[in-house]
Amino acid sequence: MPRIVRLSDVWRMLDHCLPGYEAVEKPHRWNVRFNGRVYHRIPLGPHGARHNPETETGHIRGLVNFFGIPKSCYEQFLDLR
Amino acid sequence: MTAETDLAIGTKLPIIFSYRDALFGNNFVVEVHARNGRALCAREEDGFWMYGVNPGGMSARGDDIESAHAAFRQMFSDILKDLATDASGLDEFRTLVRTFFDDTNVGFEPEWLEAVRAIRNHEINPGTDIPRGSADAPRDITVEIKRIFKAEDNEADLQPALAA
Repeated sequence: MPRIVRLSDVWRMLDHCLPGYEAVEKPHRWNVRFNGRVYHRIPLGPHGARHNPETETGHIRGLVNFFGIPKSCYEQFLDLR
Repeated sequence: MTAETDLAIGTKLPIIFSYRDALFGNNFVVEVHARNGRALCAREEDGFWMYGVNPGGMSARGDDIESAHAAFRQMFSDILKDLATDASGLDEFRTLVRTFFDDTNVGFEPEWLEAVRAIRNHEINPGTDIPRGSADAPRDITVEIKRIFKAEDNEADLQPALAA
């Protein structure tokens, strides 16, 4: 089973670690923009577009590496192991 | 590509891929041909993850290498469709596609290069029959107006390769 994280925790992490980012909602997925760069298609998890939805942890591992967010910052909010 | 789930957790494989997509945009029909894109296939606790290196802004998961690649391939096409929807015309679409493809995942690029070195030195046994391809092959993406339509266009998926 894929590991999951709550998107609300992802947004809290980005608020702190990547200030100025923009989360763009699309049907069943999100894009994250920052400084003209885009991380594409973070899908909603198995429970879909409910309150406080989830996504698979690997997508967020990809995101933090893409934007160069240091582990010392994101690990205050998320366990991405 | 043969599914292989016996790889140890933490194993990383360097993948290169070439894809061809035909798609409709706003007032255009094009063929997008990506050559020698790079992705890192990582065996993790929750399955196999394909992290884009170029393009860097995407990732996909599967229960084995084959399904992870299939999910990655599908996501690549879906992102091109998103860009075609967002673009007002062909020139803007070309710019969006090139920006997407050229944007490197700087966090994973060193791991991809290290994985290439390990493959070349036979330090990793991928345990699969994935064909080998040159890690140094030139990377490019083109967007061409589509004027001729052939049945072969339906077979747009090209085989990924292990970068060595």
